[in-house]
Amino acid sequence: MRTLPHLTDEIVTIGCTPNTLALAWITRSGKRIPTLMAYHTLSFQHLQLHNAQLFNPTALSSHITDFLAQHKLSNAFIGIWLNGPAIKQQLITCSHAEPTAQELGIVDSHRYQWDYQYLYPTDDGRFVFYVTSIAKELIFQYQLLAITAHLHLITLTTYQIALLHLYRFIQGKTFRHSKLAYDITGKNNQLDLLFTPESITRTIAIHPTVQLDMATELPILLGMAGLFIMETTDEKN
Amino acid sequence: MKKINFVRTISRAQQHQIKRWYWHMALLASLTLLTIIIVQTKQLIDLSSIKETHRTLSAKAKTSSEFAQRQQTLRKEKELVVDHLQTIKQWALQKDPGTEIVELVTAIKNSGSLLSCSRMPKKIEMTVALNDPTAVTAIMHSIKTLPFIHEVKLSSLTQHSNRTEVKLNALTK
Repeated sequence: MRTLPHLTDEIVTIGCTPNTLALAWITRSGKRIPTLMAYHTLSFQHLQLHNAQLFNPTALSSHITDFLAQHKLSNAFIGIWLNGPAIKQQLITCSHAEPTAQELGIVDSHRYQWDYQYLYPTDDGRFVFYVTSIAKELIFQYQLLAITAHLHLITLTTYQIALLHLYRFIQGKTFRHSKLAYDITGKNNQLDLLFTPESITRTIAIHPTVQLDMATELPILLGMAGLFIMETTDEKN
Repeated sequence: MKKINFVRTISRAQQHQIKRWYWHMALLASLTLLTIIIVQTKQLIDLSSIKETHRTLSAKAKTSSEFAQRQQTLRKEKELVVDHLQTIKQWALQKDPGTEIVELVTAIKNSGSLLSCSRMPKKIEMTVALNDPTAVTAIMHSIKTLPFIHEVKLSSLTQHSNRTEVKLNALTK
């Protein structure tokens, strides 16, 4: 008889950039601000991970399970965001708010997994959508990695989506798509430029035992915080 | 903001709900099983008790049957014995007619002789030969003094050539 997996409330976020694997354990106790309890990055120089593609899943699995075992998080929920050339990401402007798949440029849907998110309206009455796609074999690679490493994978998304959720969380009830339009067009559609180190400190607390260089780790930390917010925030909020 | 997820998974909330449902069902199943075990155990205990009672009563019924049969036999034997005893008592209660005849003969031998004697349930009829007819009164008085005679009556008196025959009816007690 197969028993239910042991469930915890802990969430471990994993970020995959073109040649870096980042792991973070963020936890929340009660209504207090979430705390970054552990953080670890690995840079690969021998193509173990390249452009978010797993060329050496055994090594990556080993690194991930070591991190989980070190912090006793074997049963934690795992969320992964991907970033890099392997992920197709576009901002598509449409003339109406409910575009069709063709208008969003969604083609070759049997090879790619597509999704989109409405971002903001333009001054000339059009609508900008964030459209992303991942090759199905890449998704399959991560699913295999989760199975072989016994990871409790619940989310596989993109870095930009994590940032959008972080932005939405920071804005809170004052969030408006028009404000997003103003901010994002001012940064030339670079979402990561919307945030400052203060954005992180307003979102999560960093445990004193965690040593990191905020200047260099900020982009990854933003993604980690955004994914954590995405996992823990209720959709209705 | 939509949660874009490229893997189709069960959300954390749903997984916790499944976990709660699983444990609730496990608890419910355990309670149901426990209840069934308790009820069945009680029924088995009752069944065992009933079987034990049945066994005891069957043994008693078997003894009772033998006892009843023996009682019936003894009752028949008792009736037989009572019949025999009744017969013996009747025989014991019967008076010896020989004794009465001897006493009658003794009572009348001085005045006459007894010719015949007939014993009936309540009376004795007798025929006495007398040498002297006047001795009838003495004979009757002598007979009346006997313990088993209540009253003596002269029934007839016949005169023959050389003797006189009288018939007497003596009522017994």
